[in-house]
Amino acid sequence: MVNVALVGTSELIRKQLKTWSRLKDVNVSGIVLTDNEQQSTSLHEYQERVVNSIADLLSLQLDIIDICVPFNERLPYVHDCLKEGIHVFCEVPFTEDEQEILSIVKKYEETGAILYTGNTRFSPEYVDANKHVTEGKIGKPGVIRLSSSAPHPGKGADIFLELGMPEFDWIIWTLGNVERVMAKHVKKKHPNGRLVEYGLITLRLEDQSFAHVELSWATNRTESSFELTGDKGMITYYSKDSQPISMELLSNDANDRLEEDYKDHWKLLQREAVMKSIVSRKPLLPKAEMSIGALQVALAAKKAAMSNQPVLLGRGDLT
Amino acid sequence: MKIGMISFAHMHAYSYAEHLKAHPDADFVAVWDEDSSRGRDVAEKYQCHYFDNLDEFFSEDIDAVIICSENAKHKEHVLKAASNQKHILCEKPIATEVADAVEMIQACERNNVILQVAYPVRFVPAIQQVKDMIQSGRIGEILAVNATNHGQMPGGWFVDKELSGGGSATDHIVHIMDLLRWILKDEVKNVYAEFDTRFYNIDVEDCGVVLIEMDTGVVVSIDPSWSRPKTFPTWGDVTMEIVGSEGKISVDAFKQHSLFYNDHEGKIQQQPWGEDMDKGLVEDFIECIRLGRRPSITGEDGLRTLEVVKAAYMSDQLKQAVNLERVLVNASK
Repeated sequence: MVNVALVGTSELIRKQLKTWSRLKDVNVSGIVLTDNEQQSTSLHEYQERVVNSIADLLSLQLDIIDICVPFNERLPYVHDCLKEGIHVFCEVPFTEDEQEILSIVKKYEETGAILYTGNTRFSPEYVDANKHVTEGKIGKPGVIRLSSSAPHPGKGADIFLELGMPEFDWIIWTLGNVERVMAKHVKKKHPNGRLVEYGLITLRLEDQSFAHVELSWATNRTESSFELTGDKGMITYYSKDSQPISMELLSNDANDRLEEDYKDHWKLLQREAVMKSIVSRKPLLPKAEMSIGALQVALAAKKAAMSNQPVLLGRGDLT
Repeated sequence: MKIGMISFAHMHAYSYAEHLKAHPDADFVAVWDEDSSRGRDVAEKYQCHYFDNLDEFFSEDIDAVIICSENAKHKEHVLKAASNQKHILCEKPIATEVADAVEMIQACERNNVILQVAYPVRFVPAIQQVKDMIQSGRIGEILAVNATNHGQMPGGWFVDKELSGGGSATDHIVHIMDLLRWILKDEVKNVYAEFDTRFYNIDVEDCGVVLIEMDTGVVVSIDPSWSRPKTFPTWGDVTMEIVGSEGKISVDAFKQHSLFYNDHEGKIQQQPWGEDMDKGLVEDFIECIRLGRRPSITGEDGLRTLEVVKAAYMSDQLKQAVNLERVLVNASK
């Protein structure tokens, strides 16, 4: 049995509970709400597990804490949990400082606490694509196109870090280090307060292939795609064309949302892998410090978009 | 109206010829081609007169010419046609050098002949509808465009820089750039581009990435790569994701197709059933002459897209974004 606690906003915790509840041998032992305690009623059967603070969680049986807050709030919680010797699961990014990442990992090695970070390396379509490319199925890569889109998460969010880092991480994992980054970025606030944001990033890899990344917070839908071209062929994927089930109900009042959302299935696979790592005490790749490469690309993209000139990255193995 | 064709070096020439033959108000009467074997085959197929001498071709009674020669020869053929008072539809890119394009435009103005550049994608109904949607404000203020004009490597003179002026960047940036200028009524402010040869053993670039900022601040990405594999079911694509403040439009200009799983030839093929854009282009050119009106796609439209290509090559050399400086055509006279 793996004992999980969640710390964060009620909205984000509700989403993660959906995933954790589908896993066997998981016990949700405690929840700390960082927004409004009264939101606990929205957690339904879990509302009784809400406690006041992380300190209260420590008295419970606990293996891992899932940090469920916006990215600019994550770092203190990461520290608070790791220093108590408890494993942490956290989406990237949680800091814009790559040295901070290295120091966190080093600092808590002594306590035995592991920082597990979210990424696309558990999404089956991205894992499959990585395998095909690294096994040479498309030959020498030419132009790699990736796209990720989602509804705008709100003020204070960073598109290059939050939407871009998983894409940049996959590119580094699959193709190697990035040599040069160029980017364009637009952001618009509607009079009604709605935000629209969009980024176009081009990367030149050290192997001289090209990567093109489209990041969109200008939509109501969560979608992704890739097109991987090389001198021996091409592999394509479009999430909107990959849903095995569609349903239409004729009644106007009907809810035609499917119970199983295959787009989020990879989150289940990742948490399952984390659980196995905890139980077996075996390390799980990728390690947290492997997110540094993606962070560097994201920060370079921000700089390139502001300066309207490409940014060179230093060499180093960040795979 | 009597139309002659100069060269069938570009594969689009065959499509233009078909539509000329079918047009009720046009006669395809003459062809000149440097490749005499090809020229004679064309003459036989379309029942017209073949000329191996360009001066003799121009002494024929023709009102207009469609020029489909190699890119580097557009200047020679346009100048010749203009001096012989023939209206001109010239394949893209207008020329391989900006100065040549300016000279061609000025020659046509001096001789009072129409110079239209062949950008047939403007005549795809879906593209025309997207233009209307954008210009009517359906998705609000336009913020960004993510565009592709992918293709298979065409081979032949397209990969001979002396004849083509360049590889996939020369071949494909111009189509998207023309659409964006036309739809957005905007010009390019700066360009960042990188190109390379990754797919084929050829001497010109076959892939790359282009990032552009327009004068109004719209950001654009163009992928002009010859990255479609040999097994791809069609020649390529023209796609645009257009992001606005109120929504987005995705357009795939050649989406209207069926798929043919061809066991006999061992391949899957797209079978397009949408309206033929080349027909729209040829009909527009003929009507333009008939009505004596300004061409839908002018020599200056061709010049502006060529300027972007040249800026992209410079950016690739410098590995820096470059500002675009537009040539004033009238001031160059």
